[in-house]
Amino acid sequence: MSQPSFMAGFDSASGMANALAHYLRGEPFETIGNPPVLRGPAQSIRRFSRKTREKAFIAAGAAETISPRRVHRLDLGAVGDWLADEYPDTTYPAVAIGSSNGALNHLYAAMGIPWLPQTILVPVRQKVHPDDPKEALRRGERYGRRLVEAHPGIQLHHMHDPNQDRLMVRALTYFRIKRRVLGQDYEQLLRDRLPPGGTIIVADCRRTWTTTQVAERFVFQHGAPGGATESEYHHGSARVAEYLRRYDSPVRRWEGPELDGQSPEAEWGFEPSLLDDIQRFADEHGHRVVRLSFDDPEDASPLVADLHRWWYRRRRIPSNRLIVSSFAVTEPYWTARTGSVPFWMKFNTEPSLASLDEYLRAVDPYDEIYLMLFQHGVEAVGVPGKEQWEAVLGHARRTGNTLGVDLDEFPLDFSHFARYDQAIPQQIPSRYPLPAPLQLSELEEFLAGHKDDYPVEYHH
Amino acid sequence: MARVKNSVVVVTGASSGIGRATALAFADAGGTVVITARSEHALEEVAQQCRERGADVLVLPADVTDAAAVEQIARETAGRFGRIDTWVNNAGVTLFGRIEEAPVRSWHRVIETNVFGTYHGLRAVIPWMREQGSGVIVNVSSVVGKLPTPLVSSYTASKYAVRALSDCARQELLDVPGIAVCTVLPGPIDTPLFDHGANYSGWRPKPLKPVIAAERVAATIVSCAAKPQDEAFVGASSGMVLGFRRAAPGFAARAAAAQVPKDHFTAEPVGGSDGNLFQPADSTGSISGGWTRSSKKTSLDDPKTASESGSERSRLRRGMAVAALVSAAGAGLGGAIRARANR
Repeated sequence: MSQPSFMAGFDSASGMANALAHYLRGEPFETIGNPPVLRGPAQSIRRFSRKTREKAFIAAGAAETISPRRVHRLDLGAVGDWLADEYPDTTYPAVAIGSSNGALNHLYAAMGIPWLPQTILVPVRQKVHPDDPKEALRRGERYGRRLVEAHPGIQLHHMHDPNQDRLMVRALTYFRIKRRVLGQDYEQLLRDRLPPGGTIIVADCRRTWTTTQVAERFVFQHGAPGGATESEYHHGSARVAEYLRRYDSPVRRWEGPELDGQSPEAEWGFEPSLLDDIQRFADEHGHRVVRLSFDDPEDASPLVADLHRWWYRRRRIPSNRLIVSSFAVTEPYWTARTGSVPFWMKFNTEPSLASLDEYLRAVDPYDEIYLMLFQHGVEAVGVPGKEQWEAVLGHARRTGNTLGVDLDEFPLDFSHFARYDQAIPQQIPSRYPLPAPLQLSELEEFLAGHKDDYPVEYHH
Repeated sequence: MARVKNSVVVVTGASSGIGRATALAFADAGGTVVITARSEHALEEVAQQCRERGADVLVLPADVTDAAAVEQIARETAGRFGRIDTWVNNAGVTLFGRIEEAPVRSWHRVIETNVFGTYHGLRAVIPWMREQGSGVIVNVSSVVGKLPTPLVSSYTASKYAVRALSDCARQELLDVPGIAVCTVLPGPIDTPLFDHGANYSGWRPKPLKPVIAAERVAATIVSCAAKPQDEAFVGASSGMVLGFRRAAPGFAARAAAAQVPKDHFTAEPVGGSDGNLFQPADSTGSISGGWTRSSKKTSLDDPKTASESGSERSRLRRGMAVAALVSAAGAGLGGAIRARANR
């Protein structure tokens, strides 16, 4: 069964689940350049003008949209059915459920277990001016209400980010759907793949955002974690004014709908009501539930990187090579095959760069550092320049390089999407076999030995 | 030899015999050579000869039965030169004597050196080669790694094991196309092994004929580094003997059982000795054991000149043909006798 047509392919949840499934099947994850016939044109897009590239990027996003009139009729159970087909048909000692997280995705790969996302992105066709969040809400409200009425087990986070998604929001609006209950599809998958005594690992990202309540189980989120702070979205700043001026916007700050509460962040945050249903299911089927809780998506990145280093050393792999991934540009298969330590950034912005820089300053130096960098096409607030990326690559003792990204073209080097999967084996000759899965007991051993070293809580 | 020039090569057991010849051959081919053996004194002499050939040399004395010491060789080599292109697991010892008569600890020691030594080498170098994504591992087995031979049971068992280790390593490394594992299977070689080996047979051993010069094996090892192959036989006799064994396994086993005690030993009685099993030989080491008349004439430029002589090979071929005929006749005669006896 193929990926449900209403799920965005350019999203963190689908991208990470896909990459993980490929790893569990022992296959590299071919990305946007697959099928191969698209690889050539995708790689050559660098040659075109900035405007053409932007249009191509928007067109690629628009091609994935669904009609707003279809939204309430979605068969959300198709997500679990698709994942059941994607992940190898076998039983697992543990299954992860919850927040999208690139660092944890590498952990799941190491443990050889599948992950079921709580949140998916449904890209809904809609054209509004990027700098008019109120209009984005107004246009989407009717369809959003229908969606939550038709699906009592979910909640809707309608998200509008005029900073990082400036290009995409010209063609679509972001409906992020979070499960409040497992649903028949996930329950069936757990019954089939997780034997009694197995463990459910809950990825619990506590990142929140100030939102506007639209209806029961329906909030509107203006902005998203990235280069601009939450305050800048809501109250403006000199950086925002400069950004809007640069993009010829008629406004110098955004006027969003009135804020009235905190909600789990639309893309990364974990909606806690799902935890009750997971516990109910676990009690009924004799499963153990453990929880990895953290405040920010990137909090898990140093932990997962150091865990890999520790694990690699046990396997007599030098563990002196770091592959930095960002957002959905992540490749667990080639990371493992090249004996590389993964470090994940949630996006490509200054806070992510700062977290990477802080990590590299704190640990034993890496001989090699490689960078995969998501391209979103907008010189948005808080997007670092070439020199900043080069400076962080300079932490490498021997080689610091990008994997198929031209930093001069960042963040408009869309050809990177068709290059990075091949760039890893081309630029890194090292080859290691896919390892036997890291055991949960090994993870617990590592965590017990590093109790206060990471901002991640392990509840068991 | 483009792949060998400027490459970094580790040779174990480089103080004498095949290992010494191999170190010099790589030095001649332009390689950087890291040599190891137990005897530092002998290694220094080899190192000097390598330097005279213009090669960079690193001397790292170690006993291959010590896994940590072998790991350290890999670490120091990679640390000093940045990579390990070829690793030759050559270190080997032997023991002459019947299974029930040779001391247990001596038998164990042959296995420890030949099998564990090879295993330690593989275990030490594979992580580095995986990291590089390339490399060639050459394991020196023997034609007796395919041919059961009496009175050298530990050596034979070890060489079977070395071949098996090579095959397993090759399978495990299939996911890295840049790494090759080669097994070299020489026939009887003119090395000091026969004098240095442990001996509880009661007689002074000698190599079976035809004897091949160690330089010829060295040339094959260098050739494997340049153009890897899974198995490389050295000496015309090896292929013929193995063909004979395949064609008539029962008779070949009986023929070897009869021939080896007669042809593998001189008439000179000697007392029991552990030879170089537990201590390196006193001498500084040499390539040849003095078993060939023309070993001085051998040249790496023409490996074929390294066997005892062309006429020796011809004599062998004639001998093998006669043996094959005799075996066929013998097998037929034996069958007839058994058939009569069963009536």
